[in-house]
Amino acid sequence: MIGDYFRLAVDSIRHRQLRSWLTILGIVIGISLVVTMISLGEGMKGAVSQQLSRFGPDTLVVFPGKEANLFSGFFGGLHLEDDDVDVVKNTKGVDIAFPVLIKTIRIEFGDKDKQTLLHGLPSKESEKFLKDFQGWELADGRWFRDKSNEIVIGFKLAKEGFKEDDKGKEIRLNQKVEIDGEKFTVVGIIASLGEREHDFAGYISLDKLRDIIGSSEKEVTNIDIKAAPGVDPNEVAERIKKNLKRSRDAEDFAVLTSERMGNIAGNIIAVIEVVLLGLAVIALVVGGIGIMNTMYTGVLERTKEIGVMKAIGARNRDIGLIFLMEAGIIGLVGGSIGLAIGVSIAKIVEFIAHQNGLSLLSAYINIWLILFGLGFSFVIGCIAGILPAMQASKLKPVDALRYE
Amino acid sequence: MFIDSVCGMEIKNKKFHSSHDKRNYYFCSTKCKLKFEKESVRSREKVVIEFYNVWKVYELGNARITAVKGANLEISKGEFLSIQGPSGSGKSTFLHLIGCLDLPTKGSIFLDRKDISMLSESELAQIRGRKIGFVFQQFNLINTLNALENVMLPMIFQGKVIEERRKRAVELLDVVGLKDRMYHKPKELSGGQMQRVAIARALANDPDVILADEPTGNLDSSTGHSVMNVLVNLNKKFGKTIIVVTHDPYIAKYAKRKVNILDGQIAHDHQFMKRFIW
Ligand SMILES: Nc1ncnc2c1ncn2[C@@H]1O[C@H](COP(=O)(O)OP(=O)(O)OP(=O)(O)O)[C@@H](O)[C@H]1O
Ligand SMILES: [Mg+2]
Repeated sequence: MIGDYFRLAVDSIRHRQLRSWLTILGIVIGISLVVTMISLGEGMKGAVSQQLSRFGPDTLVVFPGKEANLFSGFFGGLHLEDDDVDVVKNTKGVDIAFPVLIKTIRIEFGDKDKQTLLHGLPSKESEKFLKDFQGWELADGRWFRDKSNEIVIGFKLAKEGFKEDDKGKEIRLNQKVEIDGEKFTVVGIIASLGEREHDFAGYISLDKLRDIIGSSEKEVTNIDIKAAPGVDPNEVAERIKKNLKRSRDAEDFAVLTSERMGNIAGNIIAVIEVVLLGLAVIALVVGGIGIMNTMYTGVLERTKEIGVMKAIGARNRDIGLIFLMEAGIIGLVGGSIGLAIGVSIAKIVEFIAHQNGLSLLSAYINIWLILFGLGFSFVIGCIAGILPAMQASKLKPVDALRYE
Repeated sequence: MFIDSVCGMEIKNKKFHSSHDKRNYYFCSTKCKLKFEKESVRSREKVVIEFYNVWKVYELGNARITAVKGANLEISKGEFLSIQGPSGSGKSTFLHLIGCLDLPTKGSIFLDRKDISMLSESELAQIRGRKIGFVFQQFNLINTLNALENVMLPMIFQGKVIEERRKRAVELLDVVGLKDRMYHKPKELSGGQMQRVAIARALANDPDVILADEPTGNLDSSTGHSVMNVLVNLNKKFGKTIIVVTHDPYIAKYAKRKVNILDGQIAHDHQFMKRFIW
């Protein structure tokens, strides 16, 4: 019987093709947004947690600026100094601590050049820290030495950094690049980390970078730290905070454990997700109202038909069910198409992200997301259909028959 | 107050009477009395529809329209009855009351000896589906469905399985001579063909009573007569009770019994009606 009502509902939807498709479109937009959002949101979370899992749990970073407002630290000219590194190194529970200086500098190769994030690092500590505790690997070659004109570059910078429309060349091991008029030999290429920032970066010794930018100050962008084994990183963070506060005479820095960083990233993603999902929900509500509108129009148009069906034995609930199904089917069709479009958009975004070096980001698609999308759209259709269906079912047969 | 149980007229004096089954019955004339005595046993047992002082009042804002004013009527199984009267006299309202599409404002209607006012909405729908078949002036087929599906529709609401529905619908379309038009949509059929599909649909659940509201109103006279012949056949061959509303006296001629309605009242005096209206 339900199957028969389903057929009746489909017939009447097909009979009003243009209007049905326009109504379906409303749901398509909403559902495709929701699916894209969930798929990419989960994908982003996955990417962050993958990043963090490489980032050992006992690593910490000191940034200039307050934790609540890290960006002001980055852009507000605040920075740390070598003295701070010493303070951190001497804090109890710190295993490794070293300064990192990051500058955007033009690198030349052949007749091409490219603005690149250049990291200045002390050779020994950074090699141990990055390889042993951050999971970095060299695809080729070795790490740079202190005070030498040697550079290690990211995988993507080597492969694509100086290529344009198939012109230009890949950088190979032992080739030379020029930075501020000085020649550097490429001694190592880092295996891809799946994120743009590090895959397109270059790494040289801290002293060399300071020479190039000609700063006499002992400026440091941030301090990378590894807590000693068996020590609670949060405790170490507290101690570093206390010591730095004393030595700097101000709390103009932030000490973040990897857990904290994960939380911050998670919060940012959550905010983005909530905003986008909010938009998607608005789109869905609008779509639902569209269904309701179409159904009310349908009830009005088919008043006579309803009267006839009642005259030949349809009960109120039969009529209600037929209309409810019609609304549900409109929702479901919209949902299926929206799902397909949403998944496609997510896959395209994933593809573009991969093209641009963000290989960690993968669109999250599984059976639950699909079932959710379909079920949700069906439910929206049904909810939107309840009132019109009730109106249809309650029509008095004589009045409905008289309606022209 | 008494009612002539042959013609349904109200009787003030008890001049003509007869007793049957320990009950007294009163009549308007010897003609009705004789008819009763001839058919009494049969007709008493086979009453399907009884109206007792039925009133129907429509309220439109402040206006009240009384469409049926205290009607009394008995219809027996197997009758072929026409309801005639001028436009707005309450013929359709009458038919809707018989067909359980509407309930009386006052008075009672018995269908198979059950007071329909006592039934719930879904029980009424069930009765409409099983015991009554409707045929309308505008055919009222569902445009999105083809002839076969239209005929199967009433069976869906009775929960019949698809095979049974199909078999019966094909049979019925054959009866009305439209087997070769099974898959045609109403748009693709002529008026007479549509009305025959509608009749097939009315027969779907094998009802006892067929109610037709101006079934020939939208048809030319020869098509109209062929549709009427289908109804006559149903009455003769299958013993269906058939009630046809019409204001066409030629169509009314098919009926064995005529009921005239004037301004919501049944004009009981047949002799009087014969002389002055037609
Ligand atoms: N649902 C309704 N609401 C209000 N008034 C109604 C309703 N149905 C019928 N009426 C009124 O009741 C009266 C009888 O109507 P009905 O349709 O029964 O007449 P009819 O004899 O069938 O007329 P026609 O030959 O034109 O079909 C009319 O005055 C009509 O306006
Ligand atoms: Mg009428």
